Formats: sequence, structure tokens, C-alpha cells
Amino acid sequence: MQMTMTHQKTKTWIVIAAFNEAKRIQKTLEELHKNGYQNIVVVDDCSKDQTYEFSGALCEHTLRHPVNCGQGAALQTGIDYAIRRGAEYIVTFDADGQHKAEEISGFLEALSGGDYDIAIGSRFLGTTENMPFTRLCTLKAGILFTRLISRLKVTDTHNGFRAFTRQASPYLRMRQNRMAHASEILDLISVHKLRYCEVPTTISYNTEVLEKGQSSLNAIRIAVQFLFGKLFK
Amino acid sequence: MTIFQIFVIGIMLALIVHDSFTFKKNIKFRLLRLVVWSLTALSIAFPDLVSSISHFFGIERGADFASYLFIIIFILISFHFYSLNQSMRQDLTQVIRHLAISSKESETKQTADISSERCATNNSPD
Repeated sequence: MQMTMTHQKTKTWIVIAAFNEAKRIQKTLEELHKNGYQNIVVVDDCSKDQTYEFSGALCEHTLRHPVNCGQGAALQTGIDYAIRRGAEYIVTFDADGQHKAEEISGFLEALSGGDYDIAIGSRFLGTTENMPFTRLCTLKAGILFTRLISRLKVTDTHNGFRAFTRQASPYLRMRQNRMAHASEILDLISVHKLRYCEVPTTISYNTEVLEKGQSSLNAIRIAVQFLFGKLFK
Repeated sequence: MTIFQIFVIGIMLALIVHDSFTFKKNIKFRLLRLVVWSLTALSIAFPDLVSSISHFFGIERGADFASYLFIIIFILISFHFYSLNQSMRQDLTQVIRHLAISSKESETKQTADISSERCATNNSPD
């Protein structure tokens, strides 16, 4: 089992979209390296700080967008790069330390059996640390929105921690450049009838993460962006 | 005829004359503009005609009919331009993506070339 997991790790690429994460990216990369993940691609989305330099010191595959495009666009760039490098499994991972590197193995185990095309992280099946009540309400509203629009029953709709197979990647191509990509991925799962499962994850909220996160107003904007994107293809 | 009618019809006639001699390659676009200026001139010159048309559609006032028409056309055009904007944005993202990936790949290739040159130099009998 250990050999299989080690072998799986060599075929797994971790994709990280980073914007102004100079303070956090190195710790995130160190955690990933410590857990045995060497195939990491960081896409710096034209940060104003030294994210690119700090990432480049620890990650051989650091790319840079010359113009800020958004998290969705940066992730898709990283996914395209990973596919070109022969990735069999792709894991999207946040740059700010919200996600735990040791939980990636749970995603890979879910995919390795061949029963699923994509594994989606769920903080509500796992653990949340210091989640504010307003954030909880916004996320619950997101779940309702996804059930209404995409007809998908998931317990966490905006978790950036997900993994999918190389074969599923053409069906999960993100066109939404910014934060609406998370809703778009769920919609694509529904449209293409991909086999999915949810994996418990731990999301840690600290002051920096909360400052970056989505406010309720932003959540409405994301929903509108997603709906417009669906209408105007 | 009122001063407003004379002024607006004058502008429409000037636009009709101007557009008749421009957009030589884009016939459809030219025809569309000529139709729009002509209809505008006619509706200003014959307001009773607009009222008759609006009554046909069950709208009491010609001005209301013109307003509704304007709103509908404006919404359609807005959606069209939004769709165009999104399409251009996606094209731009593709270009940026290509730049990011190819820049990295050529950097990797250069590094590999330099390394192999150094190896060749180190391994040479001299």
C-alpha cells in the first residue's frame, strides 16, 4: 500500500494559484515537500509582492502570469502545465496554508480505485477551525445555490481542495477566470455527469485568511458572474 | 414643422448622405445604418405615423412605443457586447497562459542546455 501511494505521488501534480502570498507560500511548499510531493506547479497571478521569487526558491515549476487574470485562470494554467508534464492526478491546493498537505493522500486513495473522476474536499464532512458564523451562512447559501442551479448534492461548494484524474481534466476546463470557477467546476461535473465523491478536509481560518476570504457581497457577485457565464457561452 | 423636427431631420439627412459614401466594404452595416437614420427621420417628420403604429400594438402614445423599442434594442445590444467582451477576455487569458507556460518551458530548456554543455566540458579529455 505504501509503495502504491509513493508511486501515486510521483504521478500526482499539485497545482497552486498564488496572488500576493509571499508571506505564506514558502511554508505551504515546505509542508508539501515534507509530505513527499515533489511535482508542484505554482502559478503567480502577477503578484505585487515577491511571491514569484519566494516560490521559485523552493519550487522548480513556478510560472508567472504577466497580467492578473484571477484564481480560476491561474489554476487552469497550472493544470495545463501539469498535463503537459504527464500528470495522472491533479490536486488543486490553496497557497495560503488553509489546506493540510497530509490530507492529499485521502484524495488520491479515493481516485486510485477508478470509481471516481474527481474528489472534492468538504470542510463540513471534516473539520473547520475558527470559522466565523457569517462565513458559515454564506457557504450554506452556496450549497443551496448549487443544488438549485447545478442540481448537484455536495456539502461544500467553495472548497479549493480537490483532485481529479487526467482523463477528467478536459471536461473540467475552467472558463471563469475569477472566483466563480469553483461554481463552474461543480456545474461541469453535473453537465458531463462525472463521477464524484467528497473527502473530509480541515480548513483553518486565521486573521490573514479571513481578510482574504469572500464576503457576503462578494459571494453574490460570484453567483452573478457564474450565472452570466452560463448564459453567455 | 417645429425647430426640433427641422434640426433632427437635418442631422439624419446629413448622416444618410455621409453613410452613403462610407462603409464601402461593409454593405450590410451601411444598409443597417441608412435604415435606422431613415426611420428616425420619418418618425420625427410624421409623429402621427408613429402613433398609428403604437395603437396597432395596443400602446396609447407614440412616445411610449418609441421608448419601449429603445429599451429592448438597448438590452439586446448590451447582451451582445457583454458576450463579445467575455469572448475577448477568454482569448486574452489564452494568450497570457501560453506566455506563462512557454516562458517557463524555454527557461527550463535553456537551463538543461547549459547543464549539458557544462557536462560535456567537464568530461572532455582536455
